[in-house]
Amino acid sequence: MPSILRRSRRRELILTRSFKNAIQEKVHPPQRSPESIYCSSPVVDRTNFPSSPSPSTVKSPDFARPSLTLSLYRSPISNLQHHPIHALPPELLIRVFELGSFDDALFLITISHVCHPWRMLAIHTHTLWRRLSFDSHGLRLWKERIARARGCSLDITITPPQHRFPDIDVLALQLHLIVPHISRARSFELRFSSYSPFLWNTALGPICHQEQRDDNNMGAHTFAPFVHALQLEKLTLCFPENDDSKEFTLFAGVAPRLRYVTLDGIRLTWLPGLYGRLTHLDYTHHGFTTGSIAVDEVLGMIRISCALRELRICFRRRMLHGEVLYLSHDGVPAGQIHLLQLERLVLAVDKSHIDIPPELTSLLSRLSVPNLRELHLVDLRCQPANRRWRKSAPFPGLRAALSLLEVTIPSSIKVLAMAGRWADHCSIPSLMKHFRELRNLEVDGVEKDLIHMYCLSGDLPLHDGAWI
Amino acid sequence: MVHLVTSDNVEFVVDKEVVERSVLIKNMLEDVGETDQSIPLANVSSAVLRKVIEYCEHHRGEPLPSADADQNQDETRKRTTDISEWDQKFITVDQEMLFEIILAANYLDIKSLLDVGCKTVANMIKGKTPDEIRRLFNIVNDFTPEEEAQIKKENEWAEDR
Repeated sequence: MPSILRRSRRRELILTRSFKNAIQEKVHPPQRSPESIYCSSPVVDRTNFPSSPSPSTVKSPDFARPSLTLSLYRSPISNLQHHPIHALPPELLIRVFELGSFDDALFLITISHVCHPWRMLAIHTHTLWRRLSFDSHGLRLWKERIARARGCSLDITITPPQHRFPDIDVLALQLHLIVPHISRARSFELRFSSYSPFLWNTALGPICHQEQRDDNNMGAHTFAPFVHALQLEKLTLCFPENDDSKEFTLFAGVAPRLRYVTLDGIRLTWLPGLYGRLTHLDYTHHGFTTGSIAVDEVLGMIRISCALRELRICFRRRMLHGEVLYLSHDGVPAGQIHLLQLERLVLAVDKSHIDIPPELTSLLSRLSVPNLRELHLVDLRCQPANRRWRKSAPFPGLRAALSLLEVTIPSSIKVLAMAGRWADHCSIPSLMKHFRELRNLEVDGVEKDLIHMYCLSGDLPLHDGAWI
Repeated sequence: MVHLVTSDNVEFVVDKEVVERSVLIKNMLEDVGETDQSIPLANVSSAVLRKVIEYCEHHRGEPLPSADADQNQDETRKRTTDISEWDQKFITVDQEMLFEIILAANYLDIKSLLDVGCKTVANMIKGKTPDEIRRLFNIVNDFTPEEEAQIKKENEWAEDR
């Protein structure tokens, strides 16, 4: 009985001409004498010089294109016309596979059905399979991907299509598949653009602090270690329509590598073990709390995530039906919260607001950001990239807010960008006087000529680009 | 100005700022310092180098991708199969030239050009059946009967909804 490892077709060893040429080149490398040619024009054709290759070798396609001889992936049947894709080394084929599979769940499957070398390459490159972007495909596909990713960390994304209600049952099944592998997640992204009740509960319940009965310690409960997100670096949870004010404690409080967090429409227990090492936070407040309670809540979070380098803050107005229970965790001490490493601050105003929300200015007045380099003032109602965008009148409270900026934001920032209702051309000269080291000023997505702006502000520029 | 000599012995004199988009050449120039000596590019022909220089000229002054760009997931996100309009026109060449550009970009270490080339190949493959891909690239179906059976199974779960 033939071994299952034996191939059913015998392949004869036939050396192609290019292969022979490559060997010959190795054994007898062509001798070229060094030349010194004065070059006045950009291109000098040396093919007529004595050191140029002989006509016979020039005719060889593999000599003209020597990279072809380096191929590891040749067609196994040599009498076929040679296609240049066989010249690509494995690492470049892997790159093609990786790029193709980014937004196509079946790409890698198709690739692995083309030929034996491609199949082996795809299946044995475990990193190719790490991306789990749950869509309309069945769970068997994702199970197989997890198996093929072997020990690699996983990038998990669940984003139901826009304008389609998320199916709670499908979501529960997807989470059921994911949870045993959550410790391998490198990134975890959930985005819901359409409303469905108790969506966060279905999606996040399984990855919160699950309890397990410990039989050796009667009555006591221990945390199941498999919800610890030991490799998680990036977390994205967005559900702007969420009306469930429940607070979630994710991953049993353990995610030691978490650095990037984007949140919109969710309340989370802000534990140091989870969020203490963040460097990037994009936070849209859930809106279940307002006024000073909301400010204290966000300040409490920022106080824990004091290593932030980038911070984006937006407060959203929400129509609440009934009272929301809010238990303050830690009292935020009076005075300023210091973010010594913060380099980029984005203050965004939601489109539902008619003025700059007082929570935003109140929060800003409590921050100390001595090393800030970039300030971006964003208006979500007016996005210059949007074709239907029309310039609106500035915020009624803009002057007061800009005066506050001049107190809170260090004058040494290098980049200032303002858009929509933040952009009031009358205020720019006074801002220019304060921010004297600006290298880049952007208004409504258009970079402004700083010299011209200087003329308006009446200051003199220094020769290194700073202002006096 | 930097002097480059191709595999078919054609010399190009290129602005340093342009040619330094190649990490290989940039490192070489940093090691060697200011020199009038030509840099031999044994793996790149003149036709291919001309295209590479055209690309580097167009993208002159743009920031180079950082060394840890592969690790950064935002960078990965950008690296989808979308290609800018100019790059798309630039890379509309015959297949032989396309693969030569990819190999040259890999050899010269020009990450952005390599991505444009690889994305183009990925886009050529997308939406095609394995049989169509084989025809496109002259690939022989060399699967054993065992592998064929496994592939048939995989097709079943891939079609699940």
